[in-house]
Amino acid sequence: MEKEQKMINLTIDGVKVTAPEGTTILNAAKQIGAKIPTLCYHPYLSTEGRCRICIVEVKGARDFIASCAYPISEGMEVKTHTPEIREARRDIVELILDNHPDECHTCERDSNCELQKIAYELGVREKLFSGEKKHYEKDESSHAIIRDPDKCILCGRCTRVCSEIQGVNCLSIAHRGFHSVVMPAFDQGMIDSVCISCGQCLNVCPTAAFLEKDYTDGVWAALNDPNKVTVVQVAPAIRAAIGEGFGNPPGTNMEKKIVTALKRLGFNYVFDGQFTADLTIIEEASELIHRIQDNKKLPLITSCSPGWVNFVEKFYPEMVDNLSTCMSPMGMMGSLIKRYFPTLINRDPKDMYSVGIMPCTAKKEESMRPQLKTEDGLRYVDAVLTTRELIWMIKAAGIDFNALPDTEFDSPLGTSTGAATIFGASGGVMEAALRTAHFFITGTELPGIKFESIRGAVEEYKKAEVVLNGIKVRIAVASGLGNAQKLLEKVRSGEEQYEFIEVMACPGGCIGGGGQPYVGTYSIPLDREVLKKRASALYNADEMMTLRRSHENLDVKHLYDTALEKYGSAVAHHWLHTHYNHDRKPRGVCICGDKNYRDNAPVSNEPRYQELDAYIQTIKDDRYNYSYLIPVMQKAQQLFGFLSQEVMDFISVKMQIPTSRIYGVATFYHLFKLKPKGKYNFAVCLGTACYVKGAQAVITELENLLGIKVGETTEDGLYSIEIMRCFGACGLAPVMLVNDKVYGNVTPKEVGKIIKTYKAS
Amino acid sequence: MTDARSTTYLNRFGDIDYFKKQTRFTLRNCGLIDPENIDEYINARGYLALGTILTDYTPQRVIDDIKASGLRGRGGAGFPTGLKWQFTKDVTSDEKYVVCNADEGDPGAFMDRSAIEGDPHTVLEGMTICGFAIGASKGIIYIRAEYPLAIKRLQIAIEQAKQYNLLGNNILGSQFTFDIELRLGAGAFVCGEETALINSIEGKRGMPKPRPPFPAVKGVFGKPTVINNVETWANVPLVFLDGPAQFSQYGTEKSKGTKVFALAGKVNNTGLVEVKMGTTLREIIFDIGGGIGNGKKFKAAQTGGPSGGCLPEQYLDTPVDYESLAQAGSIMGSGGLIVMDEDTCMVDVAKFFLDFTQSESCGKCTPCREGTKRMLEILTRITEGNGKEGDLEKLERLGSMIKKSSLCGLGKSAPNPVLSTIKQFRAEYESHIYQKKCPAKVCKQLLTYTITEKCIGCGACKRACPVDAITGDPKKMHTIDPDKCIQCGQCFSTCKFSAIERS
Repeated sequence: MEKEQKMINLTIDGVKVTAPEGTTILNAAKQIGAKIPTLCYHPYLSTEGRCRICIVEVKGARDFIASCAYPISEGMEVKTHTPEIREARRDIVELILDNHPDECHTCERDSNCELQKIAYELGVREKLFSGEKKHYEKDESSHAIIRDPDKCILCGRCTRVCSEIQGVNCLSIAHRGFHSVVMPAFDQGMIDSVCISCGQCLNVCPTAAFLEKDYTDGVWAALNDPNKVTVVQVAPAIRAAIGEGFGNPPGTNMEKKIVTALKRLGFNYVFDGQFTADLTIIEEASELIHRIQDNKKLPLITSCSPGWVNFVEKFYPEMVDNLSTCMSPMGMMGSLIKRYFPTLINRDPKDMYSVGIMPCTAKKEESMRPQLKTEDGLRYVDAVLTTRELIWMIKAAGIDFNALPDTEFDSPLGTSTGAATIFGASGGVMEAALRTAHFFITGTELPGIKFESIRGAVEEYKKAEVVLNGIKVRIAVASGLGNAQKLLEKVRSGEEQYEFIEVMACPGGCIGGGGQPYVGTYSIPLDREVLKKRASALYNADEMMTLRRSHENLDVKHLYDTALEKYGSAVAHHWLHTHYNHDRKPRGVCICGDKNYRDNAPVSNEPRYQELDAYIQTIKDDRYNYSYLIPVMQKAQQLFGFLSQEVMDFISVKMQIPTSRIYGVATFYHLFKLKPKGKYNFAVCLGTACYVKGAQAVITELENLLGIKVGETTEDGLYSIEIMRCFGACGLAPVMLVNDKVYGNVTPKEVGKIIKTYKAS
Repeated sequence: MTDARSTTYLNRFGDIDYFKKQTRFTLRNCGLIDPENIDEYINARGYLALGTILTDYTPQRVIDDIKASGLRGRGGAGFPTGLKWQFTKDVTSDEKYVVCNADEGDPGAFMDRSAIEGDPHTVLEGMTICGFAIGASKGIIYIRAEYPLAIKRLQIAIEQAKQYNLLGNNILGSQFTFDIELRLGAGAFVCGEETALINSIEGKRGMPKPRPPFPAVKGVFGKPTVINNVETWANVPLVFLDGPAQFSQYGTEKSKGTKVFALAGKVNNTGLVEVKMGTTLREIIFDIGGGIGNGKKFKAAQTGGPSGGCLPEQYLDTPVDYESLAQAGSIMGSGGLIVMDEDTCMVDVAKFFLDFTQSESCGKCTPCREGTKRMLEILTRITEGNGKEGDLEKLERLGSMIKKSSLCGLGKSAPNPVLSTIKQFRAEYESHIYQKKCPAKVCKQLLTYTITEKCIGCGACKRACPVDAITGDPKKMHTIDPDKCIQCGQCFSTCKFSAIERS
């Protein structure tokens, strides 16, 4: 029986509010129109109370209260904008700005930045406290995502979306204090990390700390190159979202204006990604039928989402063969642009410049896959632009998007059915495939065309059963990789069985892709309402179409008749199917729960690894496995002297803890060393007693005599200097430890003598 | 036995001045029993409290007695211990935890280390009593890895207690089962904060979490948890040995019992000092500590470590209890007590503490991560002679914002050393900013060195100078070029004729 929810009465800014028990002050305040500013808070992520901008005054409390994390209580009196609160908020935002580049005018997120907006609204008009700024190299290694730690404000939304929503655990906060940085494990470049390029980090980033890699330069150049035939394809989800970039409400379908805009930009041919979505369905439906008939490689899992494909290759390599061999619609269209279309216009494939407008950052990486090339090495897709990049191009060209007339897509790769339109929303591929599979198996059309029960699988995965000509097909749909992971674990354990699974990497499917317009400044990223509106734009379009099944697409039919012979033919395979990589699993484990992998992972014969493994084996506490991480790392450091990446990878596999978490812990605590210390480690206590008795002079003398700074090791590996914060031996102050030997009442003059006793030997 | 200072013959340990004014309750066994021998602890009424409780008490009666004793947390904040236990007892849960916070990270504090090294069983006994009272079967001691001897003694004590069935299943034949496990810290001051400590036990970065939920409701592994520090645990058996009324006899109206201080710094006797609550700072520093050495003048007492404040001479008669120290502008803290003499620069001390908290900031919340950095920059420029008008106001503005807006206790208290020294020693700050002088002659860049007529022209200073700022012919008076001088002080310490003046 559900317990009746207790209601709490309080006042906020003098107005009476009643809200259910457990509501936070922040959410209760919304009821009366009190909008408390936030930065780190995100309704779909855990609450951390990091940024402190949402502080309020609560009567009786000594300090300010972070309203995002604090629950209301009976009789509470809250004030949200006293002069003190306003000044404190202003100062907090200034502190963030003080450690942030002054580059707003040249920043990609100028006028679309949550920090900028909040600084304006809170009245930061001058800087009172500016000082040193952090500086880190930009990581541009990935084909899809740029990480710029200088612009990071450490709100942690990216790390939370990466672990809590996507379950990828690529990003975490490493180091501590002023030196905290969001990074992949071991400070690897994004390209070497476990990142699957979904781009959700940049979707939730309030600033420009994460951005997509910009390929617009190459596209502008091609558009202005008279020798190039520029061909562009537009993915289904673009039309549902691009309008937001021009001030239209979410869910405004802009299909025909996009075509006009692309023509105005100078593209020679504007094709519809939905054409190849129909093609994908036909190939994939045939594949499904074959796999069911042959009863092999089941469940068949969709492969149109490149973030998802990366995820399987990296985290579930044993399921790579379950992926549909069909290329994504983008790949198919690119293939046709380079292989088929040139024959229609009598041009050399080398002259073709193919661009994909995608709601997705991972598509940028997908387009670089060696599998997506012709025998002559021509890439099917030369450049992938996100919805955002296209918006920039349209704005840069001075095109008044909203005032544009409508234009139809070019022929012959421009027609599509309703089935292709819904590709852009979670559940759409499945629904489209079932419409066609039914026809292929039964020869009749599906009576009810809609599968509403599998639409919008955002909060959790959805499942259903359909019967096709007496064959029971169990299906499941997931969007968001965290949901996908839950589903795959059920499949792996045998608890649930399916014939066909659709997975989209991003919550809500492509409409919520990492390349879609920022909604951050005016509403929240991942916002369910925005996702619903974008999805409804696609489902409404489907409803409006007369042809709503992929096999009804006449141009697709024509393509088969003239070039591809028949469904699943050899040439169709050559042109439209691909294969995946089996060798992308990272060295450390990223997905927890794979005990089989843990137990069978090889252990080096090196005695230290053997001992570490034996130590880990003594931990039988599966429930609180995590809590033994620090003891295990302490053991490892004891054995190896420091924690190398290899050792941390080993711990990761054996304890089933993501490497980014281990690296975060290793860089948080003073005890853990990532580099070997000297043979003789001079640790000087800098506790208060030692400090007032002259420990600093001892350190300076050590630095002078050894020629190294604190934290460094001499080149010969003999000496290192370290500062310790209080050995608790204050009676002996100042105190120095050389390895395990204690020296008390040390004076700078004695330092030389002490060093001499540790000469090279 | 003779007192080192008086050289008169003394009959008893307690006749030594250092011990005369002390009341050794929690440290009752330290130095007197063999900490590695459980029998010696038992002989000193050890585990008697636990035995009595398991035979005669209900869990609620245990908590009622703790409440009646007036015992408050010795970790710093002084939260009533009985209340904390009651909250945890009142939560229904399949599992509960008892945690001992032995992550003594305050620079200049060694109460926990000494207490554990001297008498580990009293901590185990206190925790076990709490386990019985709140219905927990598991205890965790989170201790600094930097304390190897304390760790070893705890390990021995736990082993011995298990052998005697004072830990483990059905303790002393009762229905009560309790075990204690050791967890070593990995070097992070912030892990002394209870929610950070919980994260650390759970194998995560030791970063604090917003409260509520409080550990009493959601602590280690999300289960109700009591966290107390070492000294609090050591007090628990005492409440039952002689009864709560006896316990609450000592101390002041709101602060009962005794408090252990780690007395250190510029004081003649350094060491652990246990006094009744309400004893004055003067008694601790001058009667027990033997005053300041080298004929120097007392300048300030720093209590509460990096979270506390500096109290100048006029506060010497402040009684040490939670309220009085807070009123004076400092805090009780866990018991660090550093004495400073006239050679200590208060701006430099404030900078030292802020440098500490700034480098120990976990980086989670903005005010602490960014704000302490800016405060440290301002302080640094003041000590380097680049202070500007308005700097003190900026420090105060940032300081009060950080205090009120930070996520955890570390951030909330980080500005205290700065704010309290500005309050008590404003003139010293102003002298740094406006006159560019450090009255205590500590801040190097503010010093000027000049050679006086005492110089005999030996040339030692000239040779010692790393930047060739000193010139002069042999046997004639030398001079220092102030433009070249880097204020390193090498000449000053080299000169055998006191011919160099520092001002």
